[in-house]
Amino acid sequence: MSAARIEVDHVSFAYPVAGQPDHLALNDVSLRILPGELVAIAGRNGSGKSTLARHLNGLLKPDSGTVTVDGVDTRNESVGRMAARIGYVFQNPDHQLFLPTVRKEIEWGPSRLGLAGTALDNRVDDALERFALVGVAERHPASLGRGLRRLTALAAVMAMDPGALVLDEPTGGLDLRLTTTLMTILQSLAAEGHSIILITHEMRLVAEYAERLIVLSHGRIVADGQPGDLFEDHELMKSASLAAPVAARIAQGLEPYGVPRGITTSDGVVAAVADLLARER
Amino acid sequence: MTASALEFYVPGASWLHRLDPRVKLFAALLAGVVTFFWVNLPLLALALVLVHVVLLAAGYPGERLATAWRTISLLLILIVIVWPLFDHTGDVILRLGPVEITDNGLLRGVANALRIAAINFLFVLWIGTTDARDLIRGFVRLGLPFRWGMALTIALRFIPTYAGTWATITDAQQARGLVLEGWWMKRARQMLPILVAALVSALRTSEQLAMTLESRGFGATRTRTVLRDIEMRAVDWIVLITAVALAALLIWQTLFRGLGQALFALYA
Repeated sequence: MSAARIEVDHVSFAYPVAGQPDHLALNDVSLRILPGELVAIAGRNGSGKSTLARHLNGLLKPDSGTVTVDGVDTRNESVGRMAARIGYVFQNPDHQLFLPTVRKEIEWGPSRLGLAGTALDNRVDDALERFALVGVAERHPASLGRGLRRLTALAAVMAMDPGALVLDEPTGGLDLRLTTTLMTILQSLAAEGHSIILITHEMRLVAEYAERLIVLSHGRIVADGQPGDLFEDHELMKSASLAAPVAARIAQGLEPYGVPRGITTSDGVVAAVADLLARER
Repeated sequence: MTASALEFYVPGASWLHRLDPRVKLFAALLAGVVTFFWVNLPLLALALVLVHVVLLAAGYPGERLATAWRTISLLLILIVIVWPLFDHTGDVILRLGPVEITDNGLLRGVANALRIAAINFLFVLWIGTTDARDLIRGFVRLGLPFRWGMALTIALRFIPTYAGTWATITDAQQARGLVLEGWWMKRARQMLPILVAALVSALRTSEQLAMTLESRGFGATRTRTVLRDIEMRAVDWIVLITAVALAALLIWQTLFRGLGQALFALYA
């Protein structure tokens, strides 16, 4: 068994609300995330997925239990220093940007880590290239569209080269083209060994890009497995207010005709059906 | 701090809630002026207690008062600590290297903290029991142009929103590597990323708000009608006259007879 990048061990947490009995936002949650995994965390509003995400980089500290990233306990390190181990991209890119050019924005994080000179320039050039921001490097982030601002925030976070990355609803407000660009970049980051954690409602994205789906309900993990398997559990999907993607449902419906189990993407369905039809001929 | 903690107004139907907003404003202002001139510890403490009694009697939740105390506690502690550094009247009670703390200086620090607290809660008395619409209607009836009234409503409405945004941005900037630690001068400089992002956010919000207002017909008609208006009732006049008379008496005693000018004795 390889070493986990993120280890969440029996974590419970309640938001302090004056005059109300403690309501557990996280109730005895345990999970391990390995290097190179692309994991989606889903669940209805208030299920605890944002609370869990905020525990991963230490924005919230567990009431009981521990969270470690690369062996470092989040309770022993400030959030700012954790950023070198685990990046966190917020829903609203404007909340993470503050410098006059995209290039400076990307430079800021690594320069905090002590990078300078050619090493810093190379790091920034790589990030500009990878996140398709070369053309707008000297532009003011505020003058860019929402999609490019989000890519800038992502590039700024990733320029610190953290081993893990958390993204809160990364595709909200993005069109199909930018969504594909973003998800392809995330996939290649995972392939290089980064652990990617997505908080999302979009099951189509999960089906196409995630290899693992964690479903939260009332502060507990109620499912943790391959998206294809979980999509077949209708009770689970219903209780978590999630809808399996259309492709997965079509594939399930075509099972009696010989379409194999576990297909979740439209490309997969098309290929399976074509294969069946070809075999008949 | 949650955003709702900064929303002062608590709906209710008490006599204080029903009092004309203009009367409440004048009474709170007059009380503020009176307290402003005092350094007398018992008087300031009494004023503070009185405000709390009135608020609690009007059904204002004690929890909110506790939250308000928590919010200003840091400021109050700072006043008590910093004041004696500049006020060296009285006898030295503590010497830390070049720093001398005197008994009078320390007590005056406490008095100033009490005064700020009292004025703060007078503000809660006014704004905490007045619906925003009545509040602005009050200003407009006093001659404030409607547009300014609207701007004021929006400003008040957005204080908690911006506080929430500030908290989120603080998290967001730390998540990308902003390290907030060290003594406060260092911290102040570290705040720059938060400040810039908060400003950009506020500008975007205001731009959107302007469009929302226009698309909802703001400024479309020249002659305005009013859905909820306020009228001075007999009881409002009585409270107003009583407040003015009492304030006049206290100000006269304070300015010409030395009421509240000594730390402990009622009259200087």
